[in-house]
Amino acid sequence: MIRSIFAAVLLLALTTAVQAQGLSLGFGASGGLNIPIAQDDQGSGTGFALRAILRPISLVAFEANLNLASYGDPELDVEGVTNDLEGSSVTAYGIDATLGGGAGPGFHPFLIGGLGMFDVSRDQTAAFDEDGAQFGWTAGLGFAIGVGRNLSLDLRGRLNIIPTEGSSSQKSAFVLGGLNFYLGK
Amino acid sequence: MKMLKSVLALLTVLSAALLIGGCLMSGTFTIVEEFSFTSEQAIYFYPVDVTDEEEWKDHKDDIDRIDIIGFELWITNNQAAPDTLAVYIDDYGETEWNSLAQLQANTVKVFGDLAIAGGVGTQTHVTYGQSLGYIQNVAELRRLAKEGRFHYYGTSPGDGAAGYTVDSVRVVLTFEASGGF
Repeated sequence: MIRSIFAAVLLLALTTAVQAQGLSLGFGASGGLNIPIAQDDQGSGTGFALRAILRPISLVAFEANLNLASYGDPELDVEGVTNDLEGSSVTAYGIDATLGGGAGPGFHPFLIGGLGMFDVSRDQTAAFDEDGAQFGWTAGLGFAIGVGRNLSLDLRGRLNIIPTEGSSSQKSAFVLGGLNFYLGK
Repeated sequence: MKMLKSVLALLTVLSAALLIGGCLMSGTFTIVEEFSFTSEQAIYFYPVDVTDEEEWKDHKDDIDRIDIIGFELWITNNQAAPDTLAVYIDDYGETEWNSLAQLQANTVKVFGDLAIAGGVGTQTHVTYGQSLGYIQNVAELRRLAKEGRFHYYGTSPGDGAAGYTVDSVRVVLTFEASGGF
């Protein structure tokens, strides 16, 4: 009971502070697909994302995000070779900037660009995997549909690019759908 | 209807962006080399060469990294006692080593030690996925494999006197290449 009251008071204080600063603050959660692009050794899997949204002006927002995803098992399709390679798991975190979007009624398209760290690992290929998280960058687009003053439906596609060696990179796309909730509206 | 058109337009732009960003810059490809040994020998030698493979020829000037190398193996034991298998590799030169001591001194052990079940005629099958757990010295394996060809030696690491037949080996090589394709 005390925890609930404390959380409510904290939320109210945060909302008041955000309104006073003219900022918009929100949170979002999404789920969807993690699709490898031009990677023979990964299959399509699923992903889940959490984000904290800071919108200093109506047109621009910054999103701190955490993504937990997995690739599916790849289809090697090589005669005589057992297809038992498993897909990797991905933990990624970073900051995206969005141009457009936002809360409120209506349709709000937006562009995405950002930076992040990607930890791609697979037990079977531990000897081959890079140690720790690798730097990468993101780009994409999406749209938000306001379903109330504070709530919007968020659909987005985000390309993730992790440079490897030479000019090569490992690429995937998150195709996610979820909800954003804004404080202080 | 207007919103649906906007959604379709966005998805079209996204697809184009993914296609341009994803497919024209780099990709990961897989090649398989198959060979077998029909007779029992102390050291099994094979010159692996994938440079004639279409996938390799298409990208040979743009290969940035060898991602994964694994093996699919079928082995038949010819003795009652269990045995072990290790794989050593060397560059694709003219020298062919023919003793365990030479292998240990001049090549790199990249796979092992795999336990081979005892019993005459007993078969051991190692899948591609299972083989990855036996891989070692990845940096050297990648360096030699990036040449597209290397000398492959299979032997029993204990005494070099293998009491089994390697019926079939498939080398599965996945690499990254950049450039337009």
